Amino acid sequence: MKKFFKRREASILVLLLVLMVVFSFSSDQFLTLTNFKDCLKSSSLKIILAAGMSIVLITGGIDMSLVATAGMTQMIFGRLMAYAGWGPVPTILVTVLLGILFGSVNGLLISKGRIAPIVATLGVASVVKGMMYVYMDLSGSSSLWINSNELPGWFLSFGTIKVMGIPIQIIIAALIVLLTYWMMHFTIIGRCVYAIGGNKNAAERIGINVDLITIFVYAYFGFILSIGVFADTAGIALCDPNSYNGIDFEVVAAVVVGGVTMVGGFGSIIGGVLGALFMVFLSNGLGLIRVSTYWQKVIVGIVIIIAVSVEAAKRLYNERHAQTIDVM
Amino acid sequence: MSEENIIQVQKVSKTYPGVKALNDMMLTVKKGEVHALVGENGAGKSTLIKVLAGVINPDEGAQIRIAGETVKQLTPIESVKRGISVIFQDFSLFQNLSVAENILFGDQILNNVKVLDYKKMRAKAKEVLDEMELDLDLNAVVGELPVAKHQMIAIARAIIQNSRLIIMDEPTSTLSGAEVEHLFRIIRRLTGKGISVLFVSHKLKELFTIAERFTIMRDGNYIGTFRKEELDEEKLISHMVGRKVVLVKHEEHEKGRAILQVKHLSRKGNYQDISFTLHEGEILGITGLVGSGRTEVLSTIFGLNPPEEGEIYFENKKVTIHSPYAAKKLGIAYVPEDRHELGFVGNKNMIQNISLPNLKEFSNSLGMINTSMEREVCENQMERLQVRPKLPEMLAGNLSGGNQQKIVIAKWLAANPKVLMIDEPTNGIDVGAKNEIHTIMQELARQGVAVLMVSSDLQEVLAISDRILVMRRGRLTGEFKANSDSEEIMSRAFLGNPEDYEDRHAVC
Repeated sequence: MKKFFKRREASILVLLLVLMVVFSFSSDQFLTLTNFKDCLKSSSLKIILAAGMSIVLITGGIDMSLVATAGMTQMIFGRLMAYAGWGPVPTILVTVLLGILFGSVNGLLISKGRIAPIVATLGVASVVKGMMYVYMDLSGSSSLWINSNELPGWFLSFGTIKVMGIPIQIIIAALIVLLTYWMMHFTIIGRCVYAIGGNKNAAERIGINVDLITIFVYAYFGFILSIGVFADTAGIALCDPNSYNGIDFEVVAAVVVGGVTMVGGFGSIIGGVLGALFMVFLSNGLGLIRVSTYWQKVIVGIVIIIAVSVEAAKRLYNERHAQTIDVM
Repeated sequence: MSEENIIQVQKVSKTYPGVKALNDMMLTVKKGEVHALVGENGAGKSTLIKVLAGVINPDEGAQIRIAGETVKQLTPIESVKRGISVIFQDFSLFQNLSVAENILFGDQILNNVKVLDYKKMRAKAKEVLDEMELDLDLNAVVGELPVAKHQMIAIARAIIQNSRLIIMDEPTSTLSGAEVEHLFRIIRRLTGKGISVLFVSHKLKELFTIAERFTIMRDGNYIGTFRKEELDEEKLISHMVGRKVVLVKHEEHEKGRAILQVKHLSRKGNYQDISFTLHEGEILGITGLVGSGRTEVLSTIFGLNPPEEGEIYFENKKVTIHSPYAAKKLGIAYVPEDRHELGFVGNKNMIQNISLPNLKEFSNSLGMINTSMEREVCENQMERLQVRPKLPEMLAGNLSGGNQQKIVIAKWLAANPKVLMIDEPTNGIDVGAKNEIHTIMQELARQGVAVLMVSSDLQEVLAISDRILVMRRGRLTGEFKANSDSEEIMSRAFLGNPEDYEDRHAVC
């Protein structure tokens, strides 16, 4: 038990609880079911992405294409539903396939193409974003918005489903987090991910198919991204390609706060998700006590710097400690 | 073909653009034997091992038989499946995973395990560790354990994979005394069970203890296979090097005045109450087990590790050395243990490396470098130390270990130091170059340079030191003259007490 408390995940959990206690005293709206439901519903995508991004970071990579691919995926399924009249099953199928496709492209560029993850994913982002503008140009419209009155009824109803009072977006996020946790903790894929992040050479020598696992990791990320975007869009009832701007940075920062390092090999899904929850409730609480969004950004930035510094300091301390001699 | 041989390879060649790393190499390892693979750096040992491990594909025409079956294409997983495991010098462990996870990983990949059963994993891992007489915390993260333990974990992993042949590449480079004994006990147990071990090492004395047969390589060629009884150290070295080698013998030096004196140096967590005197023209060797604080003392003298107590005197004047720059200014040079990380710059050429600490010598007041002067000085040093190949434009990272070490020494010699500190001068360097470096050190002593050497190689220490200090767990536990009995050094100082040292301490 004691070992659990030494870990990074425990400190984040404690900080999260402290944060919630502080906010529940500062604002009487914080500790309400409504607030929690709203907050979690609107940040469901962020939490899903945190789970997936944790895996990506553990392999020592990163995915900066998610804003572009989220926008493009939304644009496509939006049009299929609204203008081509597609029903739920084919739409969802295409959505998921798109997510896997974009992810696989990233994965291929990084593994077989030997391109550094940040370069590969930013490249994909550029291409995808460009393609969106090309489409906009070709279709002659001045914007890519799709309003709720154009979206089909089944889609809007889906967005408002509640199971035992809990919005469907939260349920989906929870299921995805659980699935990801199970995969990372109980299957060989999880071990392989940590191995690749820890020592890629050793992973190859031991017989791990590093390329295949890499492609899988990014494809999985694309997969859950697409589901998250679908559910989130249904909840907001609006297709806006710019709605996800900036979420890439937020997700990476949240996951790093949760103890997942960018060098690879360290951290966990739990940590990443807790980090995301921490950042989400931090913004939520600050908003409830009327801190302006600009100051919120400053505070979030400070939190990130502190989190990373603590990690660095701990690592330095451990290194120094390992070198000391038990002098007679 | 008899089943007596676990592997039988012939006509193995490997050609890279410009160089033939292996040329019709052959190797036969019997079941249950300890077989030594020897050769200088660059002889092709690593290449051959990588071929056996399936990491590299040999040229056409190679014949590889494992346990009587001819193999066409060998991949890493195929090699493991057929019972070959390699423990590379870096152990190929995952520093971020636990002991149990590391041990079982190979086996899990082999058997296509999809879902993990932690209880079963723990039980299996414990079984192997018990068999090896190892007491390790299965949940400990490997990165947090001392390096000696890493080796054992790598071996445990090989055992679990049901290996028939375990190839160990320089297994004892980070081990000392008792740990080497433990390793050999485990190896004997393995061979007793019919598992073969292919041992690659530069530590020839150890090979004579544990190996039954020796296969010698030179420049990618097969030289011969001999039984232990047919060889002695000089014969072995001669085969490896291709010419008669005379090992460096001890010589007496005239001791000059005291140039460096440390008194009661202490630093928490590193060392305590260290005092000694170093004279011009002498070679003072500091030995002891790995982790006894010797490197920390050298770092302090070089300005990298300030002491909390004690004083340092240079040429009889008290000094405080704040930084390597200050140390260099005094005339102190330091050739560190980890030459890859701290000694030379791999992607710069030899001239650039040698001139690096001495740029002021070749630059004018504006800071512009006189490249012809730089080249001349560097080429002189390269000639003096016999650096090979004689290609000053060659990148330091592409040189052999011995020549890399010579470059590191050369750059300091170009600075005309009064004190040269060397930490593990011949670690990982082949026999031929080792001898050359010892010759260089003796030459320096003859010229009046004070040499302070840290080494874990007792043979080396005894061969070239004038005086020997022993440290244990941060304290000095013994001082001996050159012609001391090595047994005494080992027992007294490696296991002894500081009090014994204080009684016999002679301050000159």
